[in-house]
Parts: sequence; structure tokens; C-alpha cells
Amino acid sequence: MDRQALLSIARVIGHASAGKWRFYTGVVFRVLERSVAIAPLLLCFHWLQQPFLTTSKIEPWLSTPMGYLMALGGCFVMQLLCAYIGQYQSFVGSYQVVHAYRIKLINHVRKLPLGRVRRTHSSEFLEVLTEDIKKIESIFSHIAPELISALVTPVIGLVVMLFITPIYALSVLILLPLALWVMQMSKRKFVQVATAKQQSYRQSASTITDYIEALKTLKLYDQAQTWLSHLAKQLEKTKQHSLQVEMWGAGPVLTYRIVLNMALSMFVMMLAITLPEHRFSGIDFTAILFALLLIKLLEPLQEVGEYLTVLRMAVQSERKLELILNEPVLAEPDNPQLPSNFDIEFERVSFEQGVKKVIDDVSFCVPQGTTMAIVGASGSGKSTLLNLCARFFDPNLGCVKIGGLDLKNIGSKGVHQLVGMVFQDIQLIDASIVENIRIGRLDASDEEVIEACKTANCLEFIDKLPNGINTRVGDGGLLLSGGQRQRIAIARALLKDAPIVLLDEATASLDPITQSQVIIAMNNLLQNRTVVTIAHRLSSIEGADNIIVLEQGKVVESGCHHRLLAQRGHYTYLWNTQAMQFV
Amino acid sequence: MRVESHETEGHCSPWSIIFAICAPYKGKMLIAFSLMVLVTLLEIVPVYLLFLSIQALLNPLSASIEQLLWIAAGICGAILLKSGCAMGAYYFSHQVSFKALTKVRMTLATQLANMSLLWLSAQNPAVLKQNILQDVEHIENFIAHQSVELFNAILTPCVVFTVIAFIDWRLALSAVVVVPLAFFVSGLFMHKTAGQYERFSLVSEDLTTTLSDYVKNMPLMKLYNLDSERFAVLNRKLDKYQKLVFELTAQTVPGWTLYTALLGASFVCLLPAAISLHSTQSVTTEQVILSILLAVGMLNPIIKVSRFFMEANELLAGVKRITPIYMARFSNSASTPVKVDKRLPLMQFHHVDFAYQSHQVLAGVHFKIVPNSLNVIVGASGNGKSTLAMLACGLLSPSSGKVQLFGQDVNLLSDSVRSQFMSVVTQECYLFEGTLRDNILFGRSHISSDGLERAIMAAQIKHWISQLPDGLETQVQVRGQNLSGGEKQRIAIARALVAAPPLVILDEAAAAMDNVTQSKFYQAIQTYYPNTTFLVITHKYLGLESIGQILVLKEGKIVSQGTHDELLSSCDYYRRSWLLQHSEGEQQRLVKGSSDFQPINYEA
Repeated sequence: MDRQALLSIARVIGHASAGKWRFYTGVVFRVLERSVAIAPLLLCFHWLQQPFLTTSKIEPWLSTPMGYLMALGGCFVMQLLCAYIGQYQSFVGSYQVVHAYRIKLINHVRKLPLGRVRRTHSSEFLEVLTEDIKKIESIFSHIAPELISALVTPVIGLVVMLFITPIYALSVLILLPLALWVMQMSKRKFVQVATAKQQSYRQSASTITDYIEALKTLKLYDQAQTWLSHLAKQLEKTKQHSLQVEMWGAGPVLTYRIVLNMALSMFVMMLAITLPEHRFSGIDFTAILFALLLIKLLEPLQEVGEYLTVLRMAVQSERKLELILNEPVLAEPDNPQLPSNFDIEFERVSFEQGVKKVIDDVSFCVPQGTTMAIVGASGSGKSTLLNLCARFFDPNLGCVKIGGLDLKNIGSKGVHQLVGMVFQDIQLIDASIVENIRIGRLDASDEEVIEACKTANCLEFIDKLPNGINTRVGDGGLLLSGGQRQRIAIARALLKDAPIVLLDEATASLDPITQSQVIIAMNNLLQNRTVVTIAHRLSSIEGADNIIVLEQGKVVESGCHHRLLAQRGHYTYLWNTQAMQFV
Repeated sequence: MRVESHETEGHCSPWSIIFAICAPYKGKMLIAFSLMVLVTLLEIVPVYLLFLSIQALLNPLSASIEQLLWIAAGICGAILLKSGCAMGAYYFSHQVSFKALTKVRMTLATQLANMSLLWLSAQNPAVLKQNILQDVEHIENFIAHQSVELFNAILTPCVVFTVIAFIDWRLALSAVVVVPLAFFVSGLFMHKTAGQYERFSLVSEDLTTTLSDYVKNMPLMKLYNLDSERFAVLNRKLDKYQKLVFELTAQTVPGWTLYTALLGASFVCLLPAAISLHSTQSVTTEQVILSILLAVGMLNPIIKVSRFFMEANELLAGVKRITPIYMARFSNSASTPVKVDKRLPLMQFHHVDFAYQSHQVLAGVHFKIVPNSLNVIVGASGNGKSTLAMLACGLLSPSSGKVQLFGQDVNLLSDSVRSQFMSVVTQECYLFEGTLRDNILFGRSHISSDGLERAIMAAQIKHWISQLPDGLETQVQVRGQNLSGGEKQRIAIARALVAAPPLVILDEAAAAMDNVTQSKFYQAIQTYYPNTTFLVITHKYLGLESIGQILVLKEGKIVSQGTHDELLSSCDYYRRSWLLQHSEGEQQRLVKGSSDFQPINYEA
């Protein structure tokens, strides 16, 4: 069988602790089930042989039709039992294996550096965590047990026959590797073909996606017809492509079957060759036995070709996931240390994304209890600085410290306990408001949640909602307005009550009255904490103890507001062009 | 074309739709099926030839080597011929399936283009995408593989039954006596599969939604140490999925194993029957052997058929989902062109109410817009501003009241008429892969270079474009990924202005402009387009000093309207908002003497 497929299955089982023995038990019983299914033909052979046997050898209980009926009934019950145990165990076992695998993958993704996660579009990651895992689930629940039992049972049968009629069994056994070899040879082509198919599908998918996203705009400008003809051309191209691809995909399975079924022809040829020997020695019963069993043994093997094809498809998914599982996660210390104070320090920090230096040799210090503002045009590296502070990734050079300890020695878990953060893209999950806020501290009491809402200026709008704090926020918080979403994020950070707060105050898209409400909430959050903020508003800039001006990842100026204005440099330029207001 | 009704006739079953999809390719499907008949018949030939060789074994004295070699050659030929026929059948079925699939997708895309804006804006684009892509994908597999394979699977047991019946009808009957029993079992155990499938897909979708949240909110998950266990929502859904899968396994496995075992048990009655018929000399030994060989796995294809019907849920669900779009009917009568009647107002909201899911968004909105001037609607978010914009361009229709363009209901206008009279910049600015010029002209060929220049100036991107090395020929990436939100908005504004229609609606289109640019923008559009009426929706109160009409929207009602000065004195809400924003802006006064400063350019 396919080595890579076996490796894939072994890897997934290696990742899981639960369920693998159940899975194995299930497969063994599936093999037993298929083996018992051969018994009726043996009974038939027994009957056929009887007239030629001496009476002493005839078993009295198996001579009447009734006797045969009983024997066959017994076989049926056995087969049914094996089938039930085999299916139930292999299903439950495989779901347990994949459940463990899924959880492992989910948790692994979270531990990857954020930059790595952001490099791939979130929909692609989602596809990995849903579609690809489902394919692996199908390997285990459906394909693998069928494939193994369909392959193993006939092979065992043929090996047994090898002892009874070596010549005939051998002639058939030679063909099986040959047939599998045909499949194996076609593999490279198959992978090519599968990739080509995926690619052409992706192409038409992106054209269609584009079309649907554009449709409202297209209709508003009366351009839908023009784009439809463009779409038609693309789909036509994909169609031509798919047809070629499909023919290449179907060929190997068909060839496999041809080679396999040649076993019948091979057998009859062997009969012709051995005929002179047997002509005078009487009826060759072993050959008759083999002839009776041959079709039954070939039957499951017919399916193997198809199972292998499907398996290969799924194995592609497994390899994709394995690559992700092998990606290095952020290194965590063996003995995490906890800082005694909350000064934040950047020491000659550089961070690269691909070839681009996003942060270039940045150093600063934010003493505990003070506020530092970061200003700079969009793309100057402001959010990257915040992300480094929160250890969403590690710097390439230099180090980030809290209380004099390198974040690498505090560990992600420790850092995240110290840091509260309000992101620019407000991060809400599609659950109720209270569930969203309670993320801040999972064991917070209802009163504490309400208190946080009050401080974050949320109660005023929450009380107006139909289900109050239990209202669902919709996908990405869609059902709430921008200002409401921000205040919920602030309530969450308040509930967490961390000594350090990282803030991206994106309030420009809010109307003045909402904005003032959000600002009150923000100010409540910032009290008595060490704060790093990406500042957009005058009052937060003026109130900062220190301001750094970023340009192309470098700190070009720093100091307090008035001193910076007096310098008439970058800060003044930004101030006058109001680039700080650009979001 | 006008949309008459999106209601589909209730009797459109998914199967009839699939049938209708295949109907144009009857000829090819017929060839595929005929070839499949040959395949089915040819499948029996090797079995018969094998029987002949067993016959030779039983009578070794009368057998000859040539005879056996001929049999071997016959088996060989039959197998090759069968494979050739199968290849042919698949070739034709694939041709049909790809043609049909392309056609269905194209039909759906065309139907969508003919749907009204109202209908479109009520749809989730992700669902529409799924409709055209995934939902129809199963049709391909059905036509290309399943249809011919099913045909073969139904035909095979019938042919085998007939052949055995020719040997002895009692043998044939005893081979299939398990079939009614199997069907009885399946009726007993498996009537719930559709419901189970539904439950499974619900739970599975639910899990996907939460996983999507998990991936999108990765910073949040990191920051709050939320792994699969601590993230309660995810944990719950993973558990639920796992439990349901176990429950369904426990429910389906007994019935399914009994069913398949019964269909595999044709020997249980066949062999005893054959033996007892043989003992009364009704059949010969050879006949028994032949019928036994033929009966090996004869009923297995039925399992394939029932497996198909269990899995057909997905195919049918997909077809059901596309049905409303696929079957939508449009009346072909061209809509009457709008008469430009100067006595009627260009645009008028006539006592408009709008409710969204029992939530009143707008109530009694009633106003005319001032022609050839700027009409600005201000208000806090969540007060119905965007709803009002969508009503104005026909993306929504009022619950009661009327929105009219020259006395005609906006939501009844055809695409071509509407686009002649108004252009709209919504909050989602769609940009496509192409040059900046293509994106601004957007397929309209009659624009003069003068008109293009004017639009670029007014949208305040003249300076930005002149800085780009390729200017207007700069390549825009898919969905404008290489541009900032502000840049995208301004390109969309230029696109709206370039055809200089009588009415331009801007929904928060200037949100990303800073205060200075915004003021310049308001002046520019009035200077460059004196004959165009603007309806501007904004939350910013700056730069509105010299504007024709300002409407203040609060909690779904227009609480005040007039010029800036009038509102400052008459509307408390307006004054408060303006002061709040003004105080921030006022303090940020320019610092003199910095104009000679040039920031260092790091892009060496």
C-alpha cells in the first residue's frame, strides 16, 4: 500500500492518545467480518466434494439442506456480530483520535507567533481547522478501515491458498503487487492532476467571489452584464481544464481493475498448463476450491483502487496539517519568572517581516505608572511595537523587558497575565455580551462583570438592548455600533485588571458624542497603570509622560509634547498635516 | 427588467431541478447509459467463462488445453471490452457534468444580476458564494459518477437475477429472499437519517462559526490564554460535536450493519435450496455451481444505492438552496424611463418609516433635497444614517412611505435608469484588479479625459496620483489590498463623480479624510459640479459652515434641519456635537515656521 498514506495515518494516531486501541480493534473485527463472509463458499465446496468422499469422512450433521441452513445461519450471525463490533469500535475510535488531533491543532495554532498567523489569511486557517480535519476524520472513520479490511482479508485468503494450491495462488498473488504498482506509478501524475484541479477550481472560485462582492456596486453602475461575459469566459476555461484533469484521474483506477481481473484469465491459463498432469489423476479438487473462492477474494480488492484514490486526496490534507504542527511555536521558559515591578523596557529591538525591517533598533523605557504615546503615520510600525510588548512574537534582535526581566523568561502566559489590551480591530466573538466580557477573567462574578460595564460606560446602552447583557453581538460584533464594541472591549480589559495596558485608541470613526463616552471609559481603564498607547487625540498626546515619533520603524524623536513642538521637526510636521488623525 | 417575484413554485422538487439541468444533454447521457448496459452484461461474461473452466475441471477427461486457453483469452477480451465501455460511459457523463455545471453557475450568476438591489442587499454574500460554488459542486459528482454508477448498481442485481432465473426460478427467488427483509430493517432503523443529517450539519456549522471566531480573534485568544478548554464557547461546541457524533454512531451502526449483512447473505437460502433441488434432481451440479458463482456479491450494489440515498442529503440540500435563485422569474417588460420633470423634486423622502426585524430604525422621515447643492445628514452611529442612504439609492425599501426620484419610486428603477440619474459611494468600496484608471472609469467608455481630471481633482487624489510612479496606470491589487482605506474611499468617490450624474450619494465616504482635506473636498465638489446635487451622510461636524442644507438625524427621526448657523442656534444636539469636535480641532492649531521642514526620506 501507499507508504505515505500509512505514514499519515500513523502520524495522526501518534498525535492522539485516546481511541487508538478501539480503532485497531475495529479494524481487526472488520477483517474478521470479511473473512467469515467467505465461509458459505467453503460450505458449497464441501457439498460439491461429498459425493466423491468415502462415507466415513462425511459429517452426518452437514448432509441435509437443513444442516446447511443451520451452518449458514450460524455464519451469518457471526458475520453480523463482527460487523457490528468492527463498525462501532472503528467509528468511535476514529472520532476519538480525530477529536484529540483537532484539539491539539487548535491549541498549536494559538501558540504560533502572531506574525505567522497573520501571514496566512484567516479563511485559509479556518479551512485547515474545519475542512481539512474533516477529510482526516473521513480517513479514519470510513476509508482506512474499509481499505485495510478489503486488502488484508483477500491477502490472508490467498496466503492460505498458497499452502493448498501453490501454483494457482502464486499466479494471482503476483498480479496484486503489479496492480498496486500501477496505482503507485500513477501517483505523481495524480498529485499533479489533483493540484491542477484545485487550482482551476480556485480560479473560478475567486472570479465568482469577486463577482458577488462587486455585484451591488456593479448594479449601481449598471455594469453587471459586462462582468458576466468576463465570468463566462473564465468558467469556460475552467471547464476545458477540468475535463482533461478528470480523464487523467480516472485512468489509474481503471487500469488497476484491469490488471486485477486478469487474475481470472491467469488462473484459467494455469489450469490449461497443468491440465496434462491432472488428466489421469482424477478431479483436481483444490483447483475447484480455488475457482470457487477466486471471485469472492477478488471482490473486496476491486474496491481498493477507489479507496486508495480517496485516501490520497485526504493524505494531502494531513500533510498540510502536519506542516503546521511542525512549525515552531514561541519558545516558553522552563521556569517562568514573575517581575516585581512593571517598568517596560525596549533594548535595541529590531523586528523583520520577510525582508522588511518593521522595527529598527528601537529603545525606550516606560517607568511603572507612566504613560507613553506612540505617534507616526500609518505603516510606521506602531501596532508592531504594541504586539512586541504583548509578546505576540519575539524580536529578531534586542529584547523587550518587563520589570527588568526578558519577556522570553517570563513566558507568554506570564506576560499575558500582566497585560491588558484594547485592539484597533475590536476583537469580539459571536456570543453574548456577558460571554465576551467574561473572557477578561473567567471566574468573575456577575456583580464584577456589571461593575466593569458600569466603569466602561456600557450599561447605558446594554440596558436598552432586548436581552440586556445576554444579547448576542453577532459575527465580529456586527449587531453593535463601533462605539459600543469599543466599550465592551474596554470593559473586558477592566475586568482583567492587569497592571499594564496597551491601547490603540481608534476613535476617529465615531461621532463626537459617542467619542466622548468612549474616552471617559478609556480614561477609567488607564488610571494607575503603566500605559503604552497609539495616540490619535490631542488630549491623550498632551497628557502623556513621554511621546515617541516613529518613522519607518525608527524612533526619530522623543520627549513630551511641548518639547517636541519646540523642536520643529517630525512631530511638528505630523502635527500640522494632521497625519496622526489618519486611520 | 423588473423583478416580478422571487417566490418559487412550491412543486419544484430538487430532483426535478436536477433533471431539468441534465435535460439539454439527453443524447450524451443516453450514450453513457447504453454503454453502462454493455458494462453490466460484460461483467457476467468472465464469471460464465470461469464456470466453463470449472466444468472442464469436473470432467478432466473431456477437457482440452485449447479450450481452456480460449476461455482465458475470452476472459481477457471481456475485461478489456468492459473497461473500454466503462471509460466511454464516464467520458460522456463527465462531458455532460462539466457542461451542466458551467451552465448552472452561469445561470445563477445571471439570475443574481437580474435580482433587485433590495433582494441583494438582504443577502449574505458568503451564502451567495456558497450557492454558486459549493452547493452546485455536488451536481458535478452526481452527473459524472453517481448517475452512471447507480444505473449499473440497479441493473446488475436485475440481470443476475434474470440469468439465475433462466437456470431455475426457485434458485433465483431463494437468492433474493433476503431483500424484502433488508428493506424492512432499513425502514425500521433508517427512517431518521434525514433528521440526523440535519442535526449533524447544524452542530458542525456551529463549530465552524466558533472556530472562525477563534482564528479571526487570535490576539484575543493569546492575550487571555484561551485554549480549547478555557475558551468556554469553543469547548462547549467541541464537546457537543463529539457527543452528537457518538450518539449518531450508536444510533445508526446497528441498523446499518444488519441491513448490509442481510444484503450480503444471499447464500443463506440459496445454497440449501440448491442442495435440496439437487437432491430431487431438479437441477444439475453444474447449474448449482453457476448460480453460486453468479450470486457472489450480487446484492452488494443495492448497498451502494442506499448509501447514495443516505448521502444524497447533501446534493439535495444544495439544490434546494439554489432553487430560489435558479427558478426566480423576471418580467421582461422594460421599465419606463424616468421623465425629468423640473416641477417634481429631484429626490424626496415622503413620510418614510423603516423597521428592521421589529426594530424601528427610521420614523416619519420627510424631506426634499435642495437641488444643485450639498445636503448633509449628520447624526450618531446607530441612529439610522446609513439606512437612510440605502433607502435613497434603492438598496432598501421603506416599510411605509415613499422614496422618490423625480416622482418615481427609487426601488423600482432598473439598473440602467438608476445609474443614469445617480451614483453612490457606500461604505464598502469595491476595487478590482486593474489600473487606477480602469477602477475609476469602471467600464464606462464615454468619459472625456477632462471629466476624468475633474473627478480626480474633486476627490482630492490629484496630488496622491501624481506622486505614484505609474500615475493613473498604477496597478490595483485584488480588492485594493495595496491601498489604504482612505485611498480606496477616494477612488470610489472619483468613480461616482466621473459620470457627473444629477445626484451623488456619499455614505461616510469622507470619513477617512482629515478635517482640512474634508473642508477642501466639500468646496471642490460644489465648485466642479455646480449642476450636481449631493446627499452626504457623515458623523463629522467640521467643514459644514457653508452648506445648503443640514439634516440632523436622531433616533430615527429628523429632529432639525437648516443651515449651519440656523442649527447652531436652534438645535441643542447639533451645537453640543459641533462644540465637542470643534474644541478638539481648534486646539490643534498650526505651529508656525515648520513649513520649510521636510521629513527625511528613508526609501533609499
